[in-house]
Amino acid sequence: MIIEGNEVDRSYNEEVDVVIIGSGCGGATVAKQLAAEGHSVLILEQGGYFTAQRGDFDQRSDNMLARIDGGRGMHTSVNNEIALMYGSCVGGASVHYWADSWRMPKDRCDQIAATGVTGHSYEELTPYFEKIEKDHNVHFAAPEYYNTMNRLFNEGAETLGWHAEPTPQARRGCAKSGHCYQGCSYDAKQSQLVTYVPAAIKSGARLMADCQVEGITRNSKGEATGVEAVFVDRHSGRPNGHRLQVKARFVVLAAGGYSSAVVWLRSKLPNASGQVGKNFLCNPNTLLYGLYDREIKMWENIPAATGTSQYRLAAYKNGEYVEGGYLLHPNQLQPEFLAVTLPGFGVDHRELVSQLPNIGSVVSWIDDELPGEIRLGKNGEAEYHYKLRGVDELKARDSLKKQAQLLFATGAKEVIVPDTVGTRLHSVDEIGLFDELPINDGNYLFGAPHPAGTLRMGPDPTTSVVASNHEAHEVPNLFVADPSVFPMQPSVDPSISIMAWSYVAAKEINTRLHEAVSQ
Amino acid sequence: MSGSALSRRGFLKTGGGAALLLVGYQASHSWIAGGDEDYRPLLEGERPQALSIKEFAVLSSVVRCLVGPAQGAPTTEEARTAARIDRELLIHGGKLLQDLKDSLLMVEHSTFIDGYGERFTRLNAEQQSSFLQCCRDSSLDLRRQAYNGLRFLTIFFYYSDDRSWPLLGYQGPWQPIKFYGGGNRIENLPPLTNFTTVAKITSEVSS
Repeated sequence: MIIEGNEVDRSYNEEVDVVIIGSGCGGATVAKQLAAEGHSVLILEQGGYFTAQRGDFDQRSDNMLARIDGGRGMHTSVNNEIALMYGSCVGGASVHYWADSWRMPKDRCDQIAATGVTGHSYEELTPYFEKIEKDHNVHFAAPEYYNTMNRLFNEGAETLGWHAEPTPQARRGCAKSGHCYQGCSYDAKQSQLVTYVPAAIKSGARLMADCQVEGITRNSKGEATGVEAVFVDRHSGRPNGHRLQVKARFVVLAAGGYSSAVVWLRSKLPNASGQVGKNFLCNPNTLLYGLYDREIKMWENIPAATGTSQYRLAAYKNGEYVEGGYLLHPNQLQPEFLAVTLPGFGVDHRELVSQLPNIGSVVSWIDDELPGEIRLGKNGEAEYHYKLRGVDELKARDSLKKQAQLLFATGAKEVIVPDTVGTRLHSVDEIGLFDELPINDGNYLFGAPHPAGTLRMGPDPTTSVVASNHEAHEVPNLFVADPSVFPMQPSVDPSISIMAWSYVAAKEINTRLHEAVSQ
Repeated sequence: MSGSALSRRGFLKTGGGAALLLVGYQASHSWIAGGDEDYRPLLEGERPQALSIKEFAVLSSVVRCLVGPAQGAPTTEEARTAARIDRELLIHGGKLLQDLKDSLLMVEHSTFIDGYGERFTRLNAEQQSSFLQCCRDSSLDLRRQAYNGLRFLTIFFYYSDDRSWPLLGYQGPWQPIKFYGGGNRIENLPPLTNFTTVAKITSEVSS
């Protein structure tokens, strides 16, 4: 059963085995698993419930950002350096993700294990990966799903001697509309909205949408006991006057990498380690555009059916950075948003957007290592502090060079940098300018779609927030199941990794619930 | 835009303290700052919900300049771009709204930094464009951020109007539109006041 805010005409008091804050890849996975085990599960989702069946996914960027994006497309870091990209709707960020479905690579699992995290090795996660891939129909896209930019990417990679490989896709019956980021109008993209949320509901879980958690409650022993929440009017985002009080054996915080630490801080939960909100990573994206003599129409068909992981891991020599540390993919933006990211204004900008069909693009996901921080402002609002620097800045500059190389190798007559001043390159010989180009302090807007790390997992309560079983070191009965727990970025699109890690959390909670019943 | 990027501290850090004080001085003295009666004629019949009359008037001028001359596309007034931004700001409130207010104030009253003798809304189109270019190329973070923030909102809300899509070579979505009460499209806006109608009639009569 899904209850939406506009159906709520009274305040509620609920008592359940597990209350889950958030319905994205983490929350939906835990909910599905625990509901299938017969436990009473209540999912709380701050955003609204939107479906293809009702025609909610109308493919307009303005309407869809207002419906499903956490900041309605307008949130940035405090220094305006990164654009926060996250979901606020049933299904969470998976509703607007691109369906890229990589497993966390073994090398990254090993690195995480080396930090002392247990139970999340590649071998231990493999059964979950297999299950998730089956449930989400993960496969390589057939050639007919490659748009022009995807094909150009492969041609360019071949010219440059790079290894391109297909990107695993979570789709079933894709209509090739290209509106993945606005939410799939055809239920083809296998987001949580059409996979684990309905599976959880089918097993008896309940979900309350438009429900904003104010705080996690605790008893005198410091154990989590439930949540306090308010229902909000979906259209204004303001409380509608009705409240929710939930008493639960276990609380699962799965509000996502941008929000779980905020819920923690607003709840004034203990933070003796001082790590809550720290270690904020976000996979900054660098975008680069190429102007071609031919039609590209990057907004059609699958965004990234292909890519290269050749540079996924950074290469170092004698301790000095050499290159790499990012994934490269063809880029996709719908025209009205593409117009925003192209530089300039007035006549110059209009001249540029008049050539939109002939503009192609490559995007990278920087495997960032130097974190920022999520804090609360003086009025309790979330503040995101992040500055690309050090080796991460070197990665971004190297990535921009590789992106320009690929664009020129595929026939781009000009490369357009979406920086404030609108820098342009006319030949691959000019890529050296990326060594010095101002890209900090709002001179260049990075997308930031993969937040992680702010409630990181680790064995030591003085340096981490949750233990390897996903339970908070300092708050018994509170579990965290989302990318906030990653001690480092997965180095690939995180959706499959979030789900796999959340299976581990669900298994632990299930064991604890059975123990509680038997006592 | 968001956060304290436009805070006084951030601006002072970049060395613009004196300029900010002058902007503040100008803006706080009505004989320089201009009152509602000066700005009301620039509203084009819109009734701002989140911004003040003055802020909305400045925004309208900025939007017009950033989008540029309409050729085969709606004007920013026809697309009601400033009103759509105002509606979005109403929903957001908080820091986004405050940052935009600060940005608009700065744009209106910092023209003197670049040698203009009039505030932004009194400059001609060419001067406005040159001034925004100065903001874009400024070494002061605050001016660049004001430019970037205003540009982002303007371009997004203008080009998310269906009538601008032919300019982009975009055939449009495959799905029919569905009204969203929490949206920011023209259909979400209050109707224009009679101001426009009256102004048009007056103009027609006098011509």
